[in-house]
Amino acid sequence: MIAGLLAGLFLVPVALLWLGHRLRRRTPGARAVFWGATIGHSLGILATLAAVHYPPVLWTQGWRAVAVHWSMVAGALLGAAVGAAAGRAR
Amino acid sequence: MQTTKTARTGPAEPRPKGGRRGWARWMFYSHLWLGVATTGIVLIICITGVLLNHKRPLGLMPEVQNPQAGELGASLPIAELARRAEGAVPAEVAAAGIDRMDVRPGDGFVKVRFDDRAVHEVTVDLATGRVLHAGERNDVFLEKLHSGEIFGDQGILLSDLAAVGLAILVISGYWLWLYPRSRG
Repeated sequence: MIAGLLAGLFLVPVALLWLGHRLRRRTPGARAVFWGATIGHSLGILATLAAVHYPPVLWTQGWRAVAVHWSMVAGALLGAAVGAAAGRAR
Repeated sequence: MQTTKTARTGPAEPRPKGGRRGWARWMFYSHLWLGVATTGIVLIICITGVLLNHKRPLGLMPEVQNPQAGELGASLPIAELARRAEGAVPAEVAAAGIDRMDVRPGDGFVKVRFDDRAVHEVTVDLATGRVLHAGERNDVFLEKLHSGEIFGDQGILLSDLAAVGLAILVISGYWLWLYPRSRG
């Protein structure tokens, strides 16, 4: 479980930064995926912050543990999928 | 058009060379990459820090009064005080064991903290054994989250990483502000 949290905290942002390098030279579809993943990850951060802090008790199981550990990764993947779909629809 | 552009940007500055340019590029990229990579952990540290600063008004830490504090010499034995505290919490909390007993002779009570996930604490009168308060210590959870201790023994390295990252962000930010054109 902790691997998901660490991936959301560090790996996803670094991957997004790498994807965003020379963004203007990439195809419109790739740009849509990048922005979708960025927005999805940002929303995932908000979900993680809410799940981490409320209630102020250690999360160990259930939906809250899943939200704490996987919101950022899931948000980025979902956002990337939405971005890809939107890019294809254009 | 050319005149307008020159007037806006001022006289052309000589492009920095060699070490200073390389240093400036390092500052720019460390600012960029560290800023993005530490966003989540820094936000957690910021929010927990603000909550801890206001833990009493927010009700995260109980405020217990004991107007009839007795003498320390008249205190009940520690084992008896622990037994009284265990009787004031649910069985699963008592089963988690006692983490620590914080004796306050001036206030005439002992705070018995349990090692459960919600960090329950019972305040017991030293002389009479009367339970003055029983509830959760949410600030302990927030302290562990703030320090990274909640993620295990190695978790404090996350907090260290965020702190070092913030220091480098401040230095590189100042550099980029003071020498905006040095990256070339």
